[in-house]
Amino acid sequence: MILQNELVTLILGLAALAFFVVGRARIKNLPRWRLFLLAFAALSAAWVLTVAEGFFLPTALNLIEHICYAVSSIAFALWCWRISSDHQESTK
Amino acid sequence: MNTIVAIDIVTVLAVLAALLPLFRDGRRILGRDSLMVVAALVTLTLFHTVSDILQWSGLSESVDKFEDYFELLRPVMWFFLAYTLMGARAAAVLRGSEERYRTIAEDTTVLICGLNSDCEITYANRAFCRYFGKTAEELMRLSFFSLIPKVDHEAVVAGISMMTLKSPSQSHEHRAISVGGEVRWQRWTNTAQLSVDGQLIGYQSVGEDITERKESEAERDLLISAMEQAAEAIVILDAGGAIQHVNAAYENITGYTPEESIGQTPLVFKGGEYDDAFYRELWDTLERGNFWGGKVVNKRKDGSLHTEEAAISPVRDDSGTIVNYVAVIRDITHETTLANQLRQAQKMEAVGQLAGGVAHDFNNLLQVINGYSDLALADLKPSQIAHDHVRQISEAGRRAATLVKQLLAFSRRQVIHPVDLDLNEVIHGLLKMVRRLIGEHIELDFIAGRGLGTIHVDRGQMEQALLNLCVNSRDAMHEGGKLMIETGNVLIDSEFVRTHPWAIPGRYVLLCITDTGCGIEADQMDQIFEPFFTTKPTGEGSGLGLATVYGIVKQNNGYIHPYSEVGKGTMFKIYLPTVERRAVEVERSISGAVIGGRETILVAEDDELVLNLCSRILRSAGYSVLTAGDGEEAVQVFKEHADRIDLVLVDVVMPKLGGAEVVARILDLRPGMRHLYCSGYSENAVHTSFVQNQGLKLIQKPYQSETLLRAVREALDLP
Repeated sequence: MILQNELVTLILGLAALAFFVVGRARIKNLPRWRLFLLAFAALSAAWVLTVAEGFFLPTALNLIEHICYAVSSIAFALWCWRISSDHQESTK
Repeated sequence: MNTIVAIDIVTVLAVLAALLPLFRDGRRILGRDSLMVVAALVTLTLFHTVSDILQWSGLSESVDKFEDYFELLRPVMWFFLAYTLMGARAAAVLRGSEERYRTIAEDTTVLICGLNSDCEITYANRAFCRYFGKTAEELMRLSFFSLIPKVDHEAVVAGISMMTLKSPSQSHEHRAISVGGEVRWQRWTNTAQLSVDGQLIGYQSVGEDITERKESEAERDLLISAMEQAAEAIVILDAGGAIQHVNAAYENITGYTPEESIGQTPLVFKGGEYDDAFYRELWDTLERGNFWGGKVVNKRKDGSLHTEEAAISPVRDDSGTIVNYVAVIRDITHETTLANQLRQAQKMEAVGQLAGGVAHDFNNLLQVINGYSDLALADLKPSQIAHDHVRQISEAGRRAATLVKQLLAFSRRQVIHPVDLDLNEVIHGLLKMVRRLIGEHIELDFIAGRGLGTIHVDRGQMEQALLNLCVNSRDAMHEGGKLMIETGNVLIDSEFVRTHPWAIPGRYVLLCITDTGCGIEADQMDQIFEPFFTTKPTGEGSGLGLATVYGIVKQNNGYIHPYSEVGKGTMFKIYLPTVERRAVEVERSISGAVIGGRETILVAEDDELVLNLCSRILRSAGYSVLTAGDGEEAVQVFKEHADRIDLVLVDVVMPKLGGAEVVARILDLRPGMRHLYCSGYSENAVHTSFVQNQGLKLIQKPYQSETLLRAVREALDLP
């Protein structure tokens, strides 16, 4: 069963992804861009899985969805820590 | 269920962990906008995850609706986060870049300034301020032209005006007044700043001080100019000995252009005068780092040889390695030729002095031999055996006298009687004799120059010189040939003197005698005028013919120049200076019968043998003779017998008192006293020159009896 808000979230996420793809050259200028992109990619995957679990393997995909949320949060936290430490090193 | 809750708790913890660095310096790192987005995103994530935890743990279900709505914001927030981060990043990059370039501009030693369209300064970096000794504030709105000497304004304006839309950047060099009023050179690169519509809004100028470079260039230009304009050739060789550079003088000396010379080794131009060992030693000296100087004979482009005085020095780099050689070369061909000619002239002069000295002493001896031979012959009957013996002695004495006369001619100590002559007339008078002399197997041509100038020479000497040359030509043409005598006027100018250094500019009569004989070897050309030098077999030539010609020409202030090619013939060119007078017809002396007399003659002669001979000759002719052995005695004898002396015969050179002084004192005692000089052709012509100068009569020793008696009679018979 497809929930309307999940589908809209997915569409918005895909639009954001399109923005990331179009502006990838500028994204690459961001510090620690790989972690940043990983956080967003994991989140996007979670949004896809949220929709997908309405069609098949709901339990497994739901579990993976939550794992993706966790990966996204961890990647984002790492990104914050790394850019902070980079900044501190450059100002020493 | 518990697994999902556990995962969500990890998520919450991770999000909370992210907050710590963001609280600490998130604004500085991300910027205000991005930080706000991150805060919203973290809030949404926490809300969503906590809702999930509550839902999956069964604690609550009421938050589902909110969760759904907030979840919609998460992709939007990520979009904004990416957007604001990129903007912040670009701004940071720009700020960093600006800071970097500002630092570079301020810290550089290059002069940087900005000008508006009126050339007023709008920006000046620290180097610019230091250079002009002003603060940035003092420079603001100051006209750039106020920093430039007025003399350079026009050039700067011209440089600026050359900037166009297509070529907005121009570089030019000019001077500016630096700190302390010192005028220094700079090179400026100006870039026009144009608006979108192409309007000029200002200039960006970057400059550097090039004063030292300018000074170096000026010094280098001076060195190059000096090198190129030097009279001496300057050649720069590389370490391998190949020519790298030559100056203009090198081409003048050698005939080779720089293009033909560069890359060659100087050995290509060697003249073949020296062997390989010479050049090996030269290079060994240079390669050891020593200076080499000396003379070298090299070949010009046209194949002619020239003598160079070369000074070659090695050139070392900072490490002491020889990287080049520099040679300064001076063409000394002209000097060498002159030196050779001077040496030859000095040698001829020395030989002449020797010959003249010997001849002078021989004359007195020959005078005695010949005189007593004549007296003995007069006393002996031809039928007597002794008569023939004495005749042989007399004949040998005459031949010896002829040789001595030639020696005197060579040594230029003959007493001469130069008169103004037309050389054509002299040659015409001799042609008959010349034809007889050279024989019928030789064709004789005489081409007389028209309007020939008058020369002032001794006619007898000229005839002798001409005959000697003709005889020489005859002897060179055993198989027959052609002898050509030419005369003409020539003008010796400075150009001629340049190529013939022996000549002096002026108008000359040229006598050219050419034969088609065997010619003279080149290595013998320097010796042909030396006395007793001959190529003829022993006994066939005295070796005095050309020496006599040389002496005669020199004594008459002329030049003789030989040219010969073996197997083709020889040409002698004689240059005699002309005089601005018409030639006079010279009366040839006609010999009359010898007449003696009864008068009394005082003979003064330091050579006793000659004195005795002279006395005997005069007494045999009926004269009374008083004798004196020197000048003082002559004056004394004259005083004692003044009343009865009719003629005084004095030797020019005598001890105690010379002939001229003796005559002067006698004339004081008895004015109008007749006198006569005799001379053995003094070794110093000064002694006899007064006789010529005063038009007096002089008897040349060795004289014959008839000559003496005729001269004495003529002197006594003068009115």
